[in-house]
Amino acid sequence: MNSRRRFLKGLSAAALLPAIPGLSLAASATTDKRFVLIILRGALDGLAAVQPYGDPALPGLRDSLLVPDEELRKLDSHFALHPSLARMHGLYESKELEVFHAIATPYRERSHFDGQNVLESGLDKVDPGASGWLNRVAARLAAERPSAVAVGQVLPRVLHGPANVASWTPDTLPDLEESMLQRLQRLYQEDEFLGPRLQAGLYSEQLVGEDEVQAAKAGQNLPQLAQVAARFLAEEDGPAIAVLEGGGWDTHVSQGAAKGGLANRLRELDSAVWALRQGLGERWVDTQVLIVTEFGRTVRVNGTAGTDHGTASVAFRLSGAKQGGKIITEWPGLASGSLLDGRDLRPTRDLRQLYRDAVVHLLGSAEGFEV
Amino acid sequence: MDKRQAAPWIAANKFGLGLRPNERAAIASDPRGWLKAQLSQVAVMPPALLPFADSPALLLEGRELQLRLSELGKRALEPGVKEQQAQIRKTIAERQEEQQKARLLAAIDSEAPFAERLVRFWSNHFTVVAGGGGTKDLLRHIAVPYENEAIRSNLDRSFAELLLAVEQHPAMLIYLDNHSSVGPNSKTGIAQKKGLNENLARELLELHTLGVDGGYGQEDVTALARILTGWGVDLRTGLTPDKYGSTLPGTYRFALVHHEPGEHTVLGRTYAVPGEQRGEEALRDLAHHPSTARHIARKLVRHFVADDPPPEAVEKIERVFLETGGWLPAVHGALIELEQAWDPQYRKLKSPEDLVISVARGCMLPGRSEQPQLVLRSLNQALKTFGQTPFNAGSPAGWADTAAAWGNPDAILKRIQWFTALTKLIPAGLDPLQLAQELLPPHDALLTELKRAESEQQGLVLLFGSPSFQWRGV
Repeated sequence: MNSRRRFLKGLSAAALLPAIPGLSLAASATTDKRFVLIILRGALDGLAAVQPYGDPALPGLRDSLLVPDEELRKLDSHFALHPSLARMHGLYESKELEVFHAIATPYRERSHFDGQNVLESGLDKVDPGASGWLNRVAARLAAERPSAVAVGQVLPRVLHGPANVASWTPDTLPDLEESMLQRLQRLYQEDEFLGPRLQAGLYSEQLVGEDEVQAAKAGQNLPQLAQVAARFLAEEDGPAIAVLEGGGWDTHVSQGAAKGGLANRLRELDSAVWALRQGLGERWVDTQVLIVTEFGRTVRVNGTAGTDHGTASVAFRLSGAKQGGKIITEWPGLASGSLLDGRDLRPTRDLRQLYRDAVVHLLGSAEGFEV
Repeated sequence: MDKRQAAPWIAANKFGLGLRPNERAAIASDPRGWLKAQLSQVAVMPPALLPFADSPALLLEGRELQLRLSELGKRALEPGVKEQQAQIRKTIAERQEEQQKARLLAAIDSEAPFAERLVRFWSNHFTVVAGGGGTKDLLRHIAVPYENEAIRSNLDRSFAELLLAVEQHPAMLIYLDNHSSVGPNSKTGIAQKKGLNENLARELLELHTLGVDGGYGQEDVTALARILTGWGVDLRTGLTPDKYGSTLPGTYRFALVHHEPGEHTVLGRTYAVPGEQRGEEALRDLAHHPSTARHIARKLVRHFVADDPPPEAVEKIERVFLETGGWLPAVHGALIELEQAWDPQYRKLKSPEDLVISVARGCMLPGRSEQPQLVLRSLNQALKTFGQTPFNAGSPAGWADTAAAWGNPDAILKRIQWFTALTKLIPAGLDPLQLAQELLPPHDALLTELKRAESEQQGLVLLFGSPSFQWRGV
């Protein structure tokens, strides 16, 4: 154990508190539940991830992007998972995966950045200053330590807000001298921005194990970050919430079908889900995982063998409590008269219901909670 | 601290890229004048970047390497092929790193740091990502040349000219897929069943000009995409005849055979005559649109004043933009005149790039080191560690420009860890107390901690880690 970790182990949670002015002590709820949010940035093509192979209009619309029936992982007589989602298909059969189709946030334009703003604020329209919905959940959980952690380079908007949250990325940087840290903490006492963040950063460093650091240094793709997130949540006194994100879903060009760029991304997602399930171990039964994206993609293929920005897509929910094994949708159909603006899958379900379900999962009730 | 005392620090740290030792006296006598004098140097190419002055040649070189890789890929099982592939990939990575290091050195050595910051602001506004597979990998060879040719060279002109130079640069046309967008009713579209890709048109409206609330709809995106069909890149590697006409390999070219016929209407104005010209007209109209003025003004004020831009400051820049037809020297000059820019209550958290550059300027790296190449490499590597590898913002919106985006807990801790690693590369003999008095406004608590520091290295970590070094401001 290096010097910093020893130094931190000696500090109880209570001893850390006075140095964190940003922490609210009013929040007091505790939870044994765990929740992971995976954000797929760039707009996942829901029609490729969960192909509505039973819809008679489908073949005429996206010939070159279709996965042949025999390679699909069927969910029922109408929908099938992409072949890259093999493990998730197994989890569907063991009732650990639920699939939601033709689902969207209330956002109806096609900007990634505004779409992600609404996706992460949980509000009904774009608000550049809004807090993230998971930060608002974190604010209600007990505050002896950060109750949410982002695993990745940038703190995602879904965790922006008044509640202090932790974040972690693998690196090869040296450890810090205890005497230097104490001096720096004194300098940071009067800085309301930097002070609490340094504390939360130290907390994450303390929690993560050497094994995970070594594993994650090898690369920072979604499955490896998932492994780290699982490690955080599996700890007895670890955070209740973790957020992961991955890019590369904005498939304007050469999207591919059973093989290709999108298929590779989906395989990574499949591995990330599996890494969470394995890594959480006994905690898996208390865990819910939600996988979301800002919007869907055009139903038709564009001029460059890809798809452009659309509206409704899919969402996935995994539950260790085995409440899945279903595909939930009011399918709007792909016939030309059914498409939104003549080009997009029409949304028939509000994604924020899944946020409210997550709040109930974590806090027992979503009463008075704004999403 | 009152405003008069604060002015030199604000000029150097908020408008500039951080002080170098012995630089303060020259700024202190006339901070505003020091900034204004830099406006005329904004288009001057820094010496470090001269080797990357010719993007067509670099683009074609990249294309050759790419073709050789794909040839080798077809013979993957033959002996020795793997090694050859690895060698080419290594060459590409090394050349990309050379460009990144030169760009970093240009900022560290700059004597016109406000001008250099403006280049970086606009380069981020018109961001491109170096990589992404396929043709987009060519951007690894032309990212820095793009910044010089499209951005830097046009900052002494109007926004409309800047916009045109950007949207007709091979880097942008490749990055946002316009080079492969084809009018469905054009000759090529009909013969080869090809079609539109609306990526560039959408980001041009949403990010480059009007802004997301600028008053356009899906029909405007599609119409602009049609108008821009044919705007592409000549990717010939040899001197084979080009069926599209008279351009030079590696440059922008317009291909009428890909251009969508018919009239198209953007924001209520109809562009009737098919051809290259109407795209240029549409871009000029967008450049002069009031929504564009507002969008650009907001971003500039966010960058130079505060994350949450004061509305009066935005209105002032917007007015100058509209009154001068988007004349950039006037718009940039108006930033210097903003009262809010000099108000010590507003401050900006340094981005990772700001941080690395200002640390290097502050302790005269890499020049002061006995191994300048090693140190430069390590400084460049730090950008990657902090998640701000040049030309890798990961989305056409560019890097975020707020403390919330860069100041997450782990990133704050990493900064301190990085300083610790860096002090091992700094030659001994730099007195932290003296340096603090040179580089930072007077701050008793910091001076007290520096006096108590256990070593020179620890003192330097505290100096760079201190709140007054972490923020751009006073």
